[in-house]
Amino acid sequence: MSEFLSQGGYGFYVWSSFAVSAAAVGFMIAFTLCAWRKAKRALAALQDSETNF
Amino acid sequence: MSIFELANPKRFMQVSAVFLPWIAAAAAVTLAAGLVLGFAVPPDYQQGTTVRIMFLHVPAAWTAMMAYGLMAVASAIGLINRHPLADVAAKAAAPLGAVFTALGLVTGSLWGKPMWGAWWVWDGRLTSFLLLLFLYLGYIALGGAIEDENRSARACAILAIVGAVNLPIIEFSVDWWTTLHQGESILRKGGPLIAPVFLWPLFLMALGYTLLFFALWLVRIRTEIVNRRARTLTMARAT
Repeated sequence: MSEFLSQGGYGFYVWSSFAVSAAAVGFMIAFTLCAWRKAKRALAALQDSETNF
Repeated sequence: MSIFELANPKRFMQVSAVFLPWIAAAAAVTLAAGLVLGFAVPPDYQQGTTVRIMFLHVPAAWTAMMAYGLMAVASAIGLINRHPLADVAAKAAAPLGAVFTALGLVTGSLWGKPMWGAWWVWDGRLTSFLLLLFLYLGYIALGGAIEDENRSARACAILAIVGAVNLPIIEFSVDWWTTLHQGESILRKGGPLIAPVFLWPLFLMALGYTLLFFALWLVRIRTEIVNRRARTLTMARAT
């Protein structure tokens, strides 16, 4: 296990690369989905208010 | 069905809704498989375990360049055919491309330090790739600075198309200039110089990042279509 973590002495570089990549991918997915949901909600609210006049 | 039928926003919403879950699922599966295989590889005889950084660095850089290419093509279509969906597609690609470019730079640094002894060197490959990041950021800033939708799209399209000159410069920089960066070792004449055991996880991660890009790109285009629909509704009501 500790051998796996140390990655032959390059643990810092290998794990940092994976951490940065995972964070960036997670950020892109979260940001994209958030914007999508927000847009859908805003449009739905507009359409609702249109029929509820 | 031609690709231009998709240029109708309504049709695009229908078709993309069908494909999206499949692309997202394929991205998840290939990335998972790539990660598992990536950690199963033996250490490289020269680079040790840092060879694993390649599975993140190379796919991020490829995806960043592909995204820019797609952005430039969409920009050209938007400019020539005056099609709003092409403009939307170009703009939707930029932030994703910028993140993949930043990822390529950061993972490259984290690979360069243990292998070259330097986080950064000002050589052709690294500098032209940094320029790619600035092109993306400039494109995003320009788009945000011009309020009129059509004028903004036109200005951005010109920047994207002119900036595409940088893509072949990145690609051939390792042949043109002396560099610490390794030369083209995968997509080269005479076949890859990398052993198959490393090629498989690299291929899967590259496919995974590409699919992930396409999935997020589609969602971002769909988001902008919904936003524009909302804006049209608001404006129609205001009059």
